Order: sequence, then C-alpha cells, then structure tokens
Amino acid sequence: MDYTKLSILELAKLLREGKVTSVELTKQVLAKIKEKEHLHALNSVMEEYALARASEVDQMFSEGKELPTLAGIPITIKDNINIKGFNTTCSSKFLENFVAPYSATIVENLEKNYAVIVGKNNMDEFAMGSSTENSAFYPCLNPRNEECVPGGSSGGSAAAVAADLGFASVGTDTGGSVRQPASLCGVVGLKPTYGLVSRYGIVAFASSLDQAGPLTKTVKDSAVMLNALAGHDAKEETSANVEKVDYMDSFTGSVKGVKIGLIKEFFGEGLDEEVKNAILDAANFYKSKGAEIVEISMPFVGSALACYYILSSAEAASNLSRFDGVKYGVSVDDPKNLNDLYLRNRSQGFGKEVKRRIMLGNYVLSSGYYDAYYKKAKKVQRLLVQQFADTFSKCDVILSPTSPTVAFKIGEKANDPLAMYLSDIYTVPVNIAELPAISIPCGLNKDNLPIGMQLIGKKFSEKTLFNVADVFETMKGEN
Amino acid sequence: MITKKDVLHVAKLSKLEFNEDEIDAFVENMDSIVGYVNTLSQIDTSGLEEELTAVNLDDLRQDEVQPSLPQESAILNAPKKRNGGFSVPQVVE
Repeated sequence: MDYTKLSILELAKLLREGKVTSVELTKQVLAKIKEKEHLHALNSVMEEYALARASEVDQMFSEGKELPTLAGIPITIKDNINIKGFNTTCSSKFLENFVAPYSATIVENLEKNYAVIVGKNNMDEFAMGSSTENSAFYPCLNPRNEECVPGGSSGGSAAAVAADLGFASVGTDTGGSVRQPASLCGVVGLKPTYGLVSRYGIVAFASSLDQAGPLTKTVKDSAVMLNALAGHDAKEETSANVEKVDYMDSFTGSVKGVKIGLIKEFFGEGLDEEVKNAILDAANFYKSKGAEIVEISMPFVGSALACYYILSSAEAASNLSRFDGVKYGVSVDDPKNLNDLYLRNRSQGFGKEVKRRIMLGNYVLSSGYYDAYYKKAKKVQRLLVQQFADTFSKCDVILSPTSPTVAFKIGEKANDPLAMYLSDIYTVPVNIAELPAISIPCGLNKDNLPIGMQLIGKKFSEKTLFNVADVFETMKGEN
Repeated sequence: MITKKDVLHVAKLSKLEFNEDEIDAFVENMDSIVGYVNTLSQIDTSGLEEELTAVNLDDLRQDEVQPSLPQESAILNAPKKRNGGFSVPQVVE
C-alpha cells in the first residue's frame, strides 16, 4: 500500500495500531524522492540519518511508549535551517559546502517530537524570490504542472508536500515565502505570529520580518506541526514569551458568529478573475455556515509592498554583510589584499537577485537617502499596524487571496523583478504587521492549477485561523 | 532617477563588483524599483513615530556566561585557517 498520500493524523493512528512502521514510511518517502528527483524539490537527502531515527522510533513504539503525534513521521525542512553535521546551503554557491556546526532550535524541537527529517528543500537563494528560480543550483518545478514555478521562496518545501515527498515541511516566510508557494502548489502554509517560532539556527534574511512555519497537506496537520515548532527560546531575543497552548484544541467545527472581513483594496487591479471568484465563493460558503461577512477598507494597505521592499532589503544588506568568505563560504585563491578578498568572494558567491537586494538595501540606508526611504518606511509601517488594529476591531479574521494569480510559467517573470515582487502583494502586509496568516487551497482554475485563499488573524490568534480554515477544508465538499 | 554614479557608489558600500553590462542593468532595475518604492513619499506620515515592534526590551535574558561553540566547530567551515584561527591576507603593509 502507498502511504505517502495520507495525512500526519491518519499515519499517527496507523503507527500506533502497528499497521505500518516508521521505517516503512521513511523508505516509501525516500523512494518517492528518488522517483521525483527531476522536480528539484530537495537539495540534499539524509537517507542514513532518517532510517536510523525511524528505526529508533519503531523500537519505542514496539515497547509501547506513548509518543508525540509527530513521532516517526518523515518530513523535510527548508535548506536555510541548520541540522548539526549536515549542509545548509540556502541554495547559494556561497554556502555550497557549509556544514552546520549546531542545530536550529526548531530542529531540536522536531527531534524532541521524534519527527524523522529526511531531507532539505530547494529554495530561492537566501530566501529572496517568489518562484524558486533564484536557486543557484536548479529551479524547482511545480508538481501540479511541471512547466510552472512552485512559487517561492519556500518552493521546494511546497513542491515536496504537494508531490508526497514527506508529510510536512518547514519553510520560512519573510513576505509570503511559506504562503505563496503553498497557494501555488495547492497545500496548506502557515505563517505564525512574529516571535512564536524560534529563528535560532535559521539563516537570517530580514530579521524584523522573518518567521518559520509549516507546510502540510491539511489544516489539522499544520496544528500538529505548530505544536512541535512553537515555544519560547531564550537563545533568541525576539522570541515571544507566551503561554504554550495546544493547537489541536482549535477545532470547534463551527464558524457561527465569526466576523470575516473582506478588504476592499485587495480585490482591485491585478487580481486574476478566477482567483477573485474563488475567494468570493469562499466568503459565501462561510456566510452559509453562519459567519458574518464584513466589508472593510484599508486605504494604505497597498503601500505595504513598497514598505516591505525597503525594510527587507535594508535588513538583508545588513545581515548579508557577514558573508565575507573568511569564517565560512567560498573563498578565492591569491587575493591581492583583504578588500580584494571581500569583493571577489561576495561578487562570485552571490547570485543576481541577492546582489540586487543588497544594492537596494544599501541604497536606502545610505547617507542622504536614509530619511526619505528607510525612516519613511518605518513610519508607514506604523500606519499599517494601526490600520490592522482598526480592522480587527471590526472583524475576527480577514479573508483574502494569497497570490493575485495561480502558478505562472517558468521564466515568465524572471527578467522583470518588479512584476515578480507584485506576486507578494497580499502576503507582505501580514509580515509588516507581525500577524499570523494561513493559506489553504480553495479550488482549481480552468487549467487545473490550485488557487489559494489567505486567512489573516490578530497576533497569537492561530487557533482561530486553524478553526476557520478547517471548517472550509472539511465542509466545503459537502456543499 | 538612479545614475551609473549611484550604482558604483552603492556597489562600493556593498563590497560588490560588476562588469559594464551588469552596471547598466542595475541602473535600469534599480531605477524602476526605487521609483516604485518612492510612492511612499505621497503618504502623509507627519506626527508618526517609526515602528519598533520587533524590539522587545521587557524580556532581556540575564547576562550570564553560557557554554558556546567549541573552537574547532567555530572554524570548521573556514576556507583558510591557521593555528586554530581564521586566516586572512595581510592587512597592515
């Protein structure tokens, strides 16, 4: 029997009933990874490590031990997250041979839950991009249509989950990098509240916006993953010290009385007609289940993207200044002097988009422009935070498209950075305001490509998001 | 309006070097991106402070010595090392 299409919750039951072992599951996933190698969803596979962990878990199950839900479940993680002793490449030539000297806190959390990590996912270099075409190794293909991109930057993670190469993945989301690929590949992607999941041991892109989150086949599996990932980490200054909750308690099966907001500005120019209709259908579905639909205007929400590109590029320029090829990374032979070493290492190690972000970041931070760009963007950010606060005084969650279009063709936007940036127009405001949001599949377009819808909540309202998303996922088919 | 001079200046700040074609492409790319982000200048932000949400000063850890990476792990990935340290070209002539 092929188990690779099942959900984590279904497998957790079978594992406990002794109907399948973790080693069997792991072998099936490893075989599928080999079969689907041409998708380039993974940069590396950790076969020996995974099988050893799986057999440990099987041993514990056979001894009748009670284990966490994730125990024995093969998963993958994005290749910007450290696992001690294995490569972390960020899909960059600069880190092609980098071996992590320590594990990320979330990897330790996953290991404590006995998850079996089988490999590391392809991504846009240093998480900069919306199509995974910026990988320095190879672009990743969308398993729903191999001529299309899987989205990005966690494109390998979304493609892996969609192609059954592991039952979940962990990605990172700075401006939509978990949700947009989840939408384009037809899987569930969660961006938790800023600070809920530790970033210690994850390569930084824009530290005030970065957040790690799970990609899964179902909403309930997303809750299982968040249970394992979330938690305060003393090693990280921005980690939120909030009470630990059980996200499996989220599900009431009802949205009666829930106020769902539709943001007027999110349905304007640039939004594909089929995507728009799918979102409005979802709103009607919720209405039929007893939710109240509220139309709200957020006049400044359109400025979030400009704000995002200033802030994220400024932080990226600063974060990536540590890549000099001295402590790790590539290094040229026979440099003339230290400056020559820096210049050549960085120029040869970084790809085009990474250089573009570093250049933009240093431009907006440079003398004479700082006030006009960086400081201005921080003020607009305040305006957006206030506007979300106003909005959440009128509704409980916001329903929107995740991406303005379905998956686009490989190469279609590769030479137009601004067009590529616009695919994140509905996701970036969430990071700017530090909010949680989930993307779930809500239908197919006429070419059978998945459409994703996004639910945005107040800070630390993941339980509400899970419940509202789950009602759609489990009850939409009944209509 | 981004000029070639701007690009060369920012490249220097960024410790990046480019050939002529790349510089021309950057002038064009950055001009359109900067033009786009400049739309923020039309928004009235008078009286607003900069947002500092990511900074949380209420929850600082104690300044206590904790175990850190052993030296051999810290230099594990160094392309050039000598006597247990990172090796770089001569800095002082």
